[in-house]
Amino acid sequence: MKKHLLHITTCAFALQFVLVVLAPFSSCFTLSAQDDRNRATSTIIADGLAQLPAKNLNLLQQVMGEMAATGSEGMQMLISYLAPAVQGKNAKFEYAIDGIVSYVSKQEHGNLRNAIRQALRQGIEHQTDIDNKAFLISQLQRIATTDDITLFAQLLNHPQLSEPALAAIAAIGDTHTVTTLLSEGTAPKALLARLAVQLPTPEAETILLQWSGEADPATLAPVYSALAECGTEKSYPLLHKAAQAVGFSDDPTGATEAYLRYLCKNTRDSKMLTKAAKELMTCSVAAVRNTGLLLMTKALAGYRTTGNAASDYHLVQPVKATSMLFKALRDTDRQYRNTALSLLADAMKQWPGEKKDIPTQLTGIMPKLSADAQTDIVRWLGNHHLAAHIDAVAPLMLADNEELSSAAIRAAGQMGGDKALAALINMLHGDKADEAGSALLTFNGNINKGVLTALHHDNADVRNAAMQLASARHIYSAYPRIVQLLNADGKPNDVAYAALKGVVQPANFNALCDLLDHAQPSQQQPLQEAAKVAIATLKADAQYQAIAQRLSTAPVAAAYYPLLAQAGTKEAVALLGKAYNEGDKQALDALLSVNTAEVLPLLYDIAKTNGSQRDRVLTHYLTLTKRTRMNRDQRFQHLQQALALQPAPDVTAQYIAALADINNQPALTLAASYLNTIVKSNSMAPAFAAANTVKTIISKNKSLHGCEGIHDMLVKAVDIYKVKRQQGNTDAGYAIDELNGLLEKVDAQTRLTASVNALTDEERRQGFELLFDGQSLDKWFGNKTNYVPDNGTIYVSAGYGNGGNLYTNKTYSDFVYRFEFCFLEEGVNNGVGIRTREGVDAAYEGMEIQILDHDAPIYAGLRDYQQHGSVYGIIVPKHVNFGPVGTWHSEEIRAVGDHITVTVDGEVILDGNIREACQGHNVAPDGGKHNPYTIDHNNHPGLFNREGNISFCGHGEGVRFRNIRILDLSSKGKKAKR
Amino acid sequence: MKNINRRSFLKTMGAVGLFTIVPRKVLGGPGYIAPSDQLTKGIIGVGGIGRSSLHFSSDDTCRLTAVCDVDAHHLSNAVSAAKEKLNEQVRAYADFRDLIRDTNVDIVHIATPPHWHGIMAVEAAKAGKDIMCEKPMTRTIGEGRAVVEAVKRYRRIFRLNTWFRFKDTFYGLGTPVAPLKKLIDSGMLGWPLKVTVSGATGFAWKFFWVGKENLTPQPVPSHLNYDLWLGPAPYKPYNEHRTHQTFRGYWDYDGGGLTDMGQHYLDPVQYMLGKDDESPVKVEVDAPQQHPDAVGIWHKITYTYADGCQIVLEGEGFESKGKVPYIEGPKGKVYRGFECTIPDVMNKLAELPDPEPQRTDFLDCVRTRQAFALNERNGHHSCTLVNMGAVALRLGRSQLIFNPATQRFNDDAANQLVNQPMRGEWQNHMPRIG
Repeated sequence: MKKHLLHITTCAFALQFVLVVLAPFSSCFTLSAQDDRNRATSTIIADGLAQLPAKNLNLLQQVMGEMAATGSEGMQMLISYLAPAVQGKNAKFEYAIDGIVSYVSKQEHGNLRNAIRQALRQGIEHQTDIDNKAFLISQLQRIATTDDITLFAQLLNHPQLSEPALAAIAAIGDTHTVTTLLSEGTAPKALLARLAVQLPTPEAETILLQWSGEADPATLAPVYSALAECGTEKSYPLLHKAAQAVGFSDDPTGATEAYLRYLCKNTRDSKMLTKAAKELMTCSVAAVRNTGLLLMTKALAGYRTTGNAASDYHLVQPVKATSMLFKALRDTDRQYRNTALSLLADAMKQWPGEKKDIPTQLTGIMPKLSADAQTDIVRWLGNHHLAAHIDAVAPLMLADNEELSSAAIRAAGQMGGDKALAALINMLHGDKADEAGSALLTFNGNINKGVLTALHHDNADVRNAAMQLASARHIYSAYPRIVQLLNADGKPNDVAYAALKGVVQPANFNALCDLLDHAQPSQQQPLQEAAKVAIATLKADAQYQAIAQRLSTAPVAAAYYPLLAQAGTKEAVALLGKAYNEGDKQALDALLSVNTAEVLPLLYDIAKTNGSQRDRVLTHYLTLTKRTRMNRDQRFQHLQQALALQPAPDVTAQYIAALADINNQPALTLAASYLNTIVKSNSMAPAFAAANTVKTIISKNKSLHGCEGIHDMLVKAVDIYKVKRQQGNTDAGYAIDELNGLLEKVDAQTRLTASVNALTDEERRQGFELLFDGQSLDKWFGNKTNYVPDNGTIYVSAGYGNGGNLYTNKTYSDFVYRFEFCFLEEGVNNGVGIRTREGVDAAYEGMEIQILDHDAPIYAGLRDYQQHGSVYGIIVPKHVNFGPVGTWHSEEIRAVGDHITVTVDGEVILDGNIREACQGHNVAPDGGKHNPYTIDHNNHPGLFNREGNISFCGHGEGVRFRNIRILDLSSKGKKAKR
Repeated sequence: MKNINRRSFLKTMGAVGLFTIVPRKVLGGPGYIAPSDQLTKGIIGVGGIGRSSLHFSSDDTCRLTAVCDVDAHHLSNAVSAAKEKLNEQVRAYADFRDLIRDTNVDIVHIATPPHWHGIMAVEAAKAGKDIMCEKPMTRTIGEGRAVVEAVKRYRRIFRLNTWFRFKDTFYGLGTPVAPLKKLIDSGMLGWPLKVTVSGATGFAWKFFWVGKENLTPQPVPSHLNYDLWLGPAPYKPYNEHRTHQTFRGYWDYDGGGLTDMGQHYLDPVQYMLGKDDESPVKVEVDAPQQHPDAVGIWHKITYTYADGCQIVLEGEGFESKGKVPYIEGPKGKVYRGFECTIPDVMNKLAELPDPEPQRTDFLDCVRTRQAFALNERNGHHSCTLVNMGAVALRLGRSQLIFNPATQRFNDDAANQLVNQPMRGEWQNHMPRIG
């Protein structure tokens, strides 16, 4: 398609002065920048479409800004491109329309809004496809004004468009409209009532009340709902009666909900509210009773708002309200009681002066209430952290009622404070010891003092629990006392031994080792743990030194294996390895807990030789391999050699999954070799893992797309995911979508590669010259930034608006020019300029033989003289069907004098005479801008140029060229050949 | 847990040295389940998560008594699975309103696509049911407010079903939230904090959960009530990719990995940062253009709270290189797996009290009428995080300012997405709030 380069020449003079001044800072003014402003609307729209979906929000703003600036013309054009929705072809246009509407919906772009609005309005009127119409309505909705209401209102009786029209009217938010539409009453009542639900107006009430006689629940429901929103005291009798009639149940007309919502909104008339609430409080529907209680509270407290501020209220009878809520606590329904309590909490927060009183009064009445109600109150006190009321709660920890005592224990922990601490410590024996322990772990405050005291408690259970707490909280000062308690009763105390590990520090290490050296076998493990923890904060070498020192005198070396494993140094691993080789089974357990890379070679050897332990060893081997810092090749080697040992299927699967992180070809090939295991093995785990790894690597690593066998791998992975989908896996369907997408890309890439840039024998004989050898652009000049040799092709990455062309070094007059091209994405636009020169627009200064993926939906408005192969604006070609994106096509352009022939894929698509085509008038005879003799009615001053460069006229990325060769037919060329 | 001898149970627990709150169901003594303790539930949506073994269950404490689906195949499969696996004769409903009005159902479990969550939760609240709702809580901020209001008015117990704020290590992070919360509360990291949720910190944003553009209409299968499947969503011609499993890729029903997984990832962050009653004041998005119907990918979303705390979501093509801290504060950083720049942090933390206990037994909350740990209130806030991002993303706004008090943006088009119109009668159930 035609593009105007460098039309800023006219203003360049004016800018010159500015340029001199700003030159160092103003790269944006340089002449190489392409000015878009002179593009025709159709070009701006096509260029915009070709860039969608925009890859980032900046580009989106830029593209939409350009398209929106074309005003209603551009938007109308886009709307006219919409195909019937059933064809499923509209995505590009939807992106554009939605993007433009989004753009103009921003406040700062409001100046463009009206033109876009008008175009959408026209589109809605003229579109015949209902789904497209609905789409346009939803777009107009976002920028509609009250002027659009008539348009939408007309659609309210349309069977399929009434919904989007209604939504649009509601979005405009003009309440006056609602009144008008309701009083006209031409649209279905249910629809209009729904409008009033969203935009309640006082005027609507009268009309809605008239409609309340309807029998159809589908109409009544929105009428009730709307009255709930806009109703005054006039609606009360109706809503009340309707709700009463259904026994305050939840029925299809929604009468109860509407009544309750009405009451919640109309709390001013406390007399009415009191009466209504009283009735609700005695009804049989539990949830409605709750609302009744809520309303009664409002009625009694009567907090009247005198303004908008939340603090601006005036309490009428707070005492009456709270005492009513206290009374509600006597109710047998727990739901109801807790509603009362939550209302009391609200009161405490919102009513000044109530904060202190309410809890005090609650604890006051608590003893007179049922155990269940007491439980509720205790929980409430705890949830609100009311530490001041611990005296009321603490005794209840000993209550006979299980639930009550549990609630009291938990509440005490939430409250915190010395009293709660002491009370909970005293609960550390008996049935509730566990719960008291839990409460102390989450105690609201520090528990150290209480725990240290408890270590001296008379009761052994309390002491034990205190030791556990001391251990969990790392109360180091408890260490001496816990050591005392290790064998206090003449026999070892397991709890004390287990607690040691939480209270030890490096200084205790030797003492712990002394204990370890003389310990019974059953006490070894906790002492080992404690010794480990004691030195865990030291550096590995220091740990090893400390252990080695003890080892020399240790009666049983094996007791120190776990410690060595923790140190994990080279020496420590060597010692453990030696022990393993000498047949010490405990050494293997220790080796499998080593967390340093030092152990990796040894683990591999063990996995190789010890079949019974292989899976266990390889599992740890994998964990360490993943965790250890190493390069990709090393990591791959580790995984590969482990897989070669053929671990169990689940372990194999873990290894295959780990290959995904390596993300290179060897990893891919190895993982893919497991894609067949689904048929061979009983367990599908390796195949599933392989399918996922293959998918991950191929999607992350585009450079692999050209590799051999990729296609087959993806096909197999799809088959495996199909099995997964059958098993009901949520992600499998998406994985299949993703794999199929990758298949398309990979196949396109395969078609691309293996390019040949060479002359045939025939061509060599005839004297063709190769203009591109696959690597070098030596025979070209111009924009070598966006035209780059890639994979044996010239890849065009010119961004929109900063193009610039590529030119042959030599000039040509008569010639045969052959090349191959390949569109990488839909809608690519380029061109071959001939008999042209640098810096001008080849379509007018010379000729442009169009290169265009012209069947892309974005070119729905294309003229036939803009099609691929056209002599742009001069001669219409035969239409080419390109087939799928990613296919290579061959083209030949033969130019001899005025005779131009274009052949694509072996078929002549254009064969004509440029002089005849415009009857010799390449420019308008009258010197004007309109030229009746050319098909595009433009002047083509350079059409009859005798000679010039050949160019590629870039207009955006996504096309490749290769095999570019030329035969110079001119006498100059013939001479040169000789 | 049934028939367990309570005394031996407690003894074992004591010996292990773990303190646990004894589940309520154990308290009645061996084999005893008080009738008032036996609850019943009905599941709406038994195609995906609702059919998973996690929820499709029945026992003495809570029996499954009803199921509902708009797909007759799902429904009949669920009925026979209930018979075979659970030995329950469940009632089958094609319309959720019938299940909600079933007086033999105490708890309604909403396991439908998100565009239904708001309406169903409000309807269930009206009918006096307690509610368990799958994530995301609602598809719009306005619907979330309506749920909060209805649950409060009828005083229901509401559980939003994601659990990482109180249980499990979540996704690739390799640590549960409790120690992180403790660390943050301790002040050791300083303030304000920046939390990064990205592949590098262990979270996969599921970018393959995207929609298809240019869907060609297909005939609606006879076993599917497509009109009721769509419900409040705008009418669009049927294509199977819109429904079941792949609905996540369409803005009308969900919003891809961001909205479908977002609350899983962000709710624990909100809890850790202590933002349960707060919303950010700003959201910034870096993304490619979104199609008006089909959800696409995004690169980065950043939320900023009034106090300067930030949550950064790193999506496709935007994962910071190398090691990224999950939490970053002026005084320290935490990486996945609880790797922390503060020396000896675990021991320092152990010395501090654990975070306040959360109520995490939903059935116990229903019985005792206590709010569940993740309820309509904090759930609405973490869902608002997700929905704020979705609004900016859909509109292609690189930045939106949000007013947490009014829950409105500084942008008209964005505010249109706060309360989205509903099709047909469904609007009656969802009055505009705010």
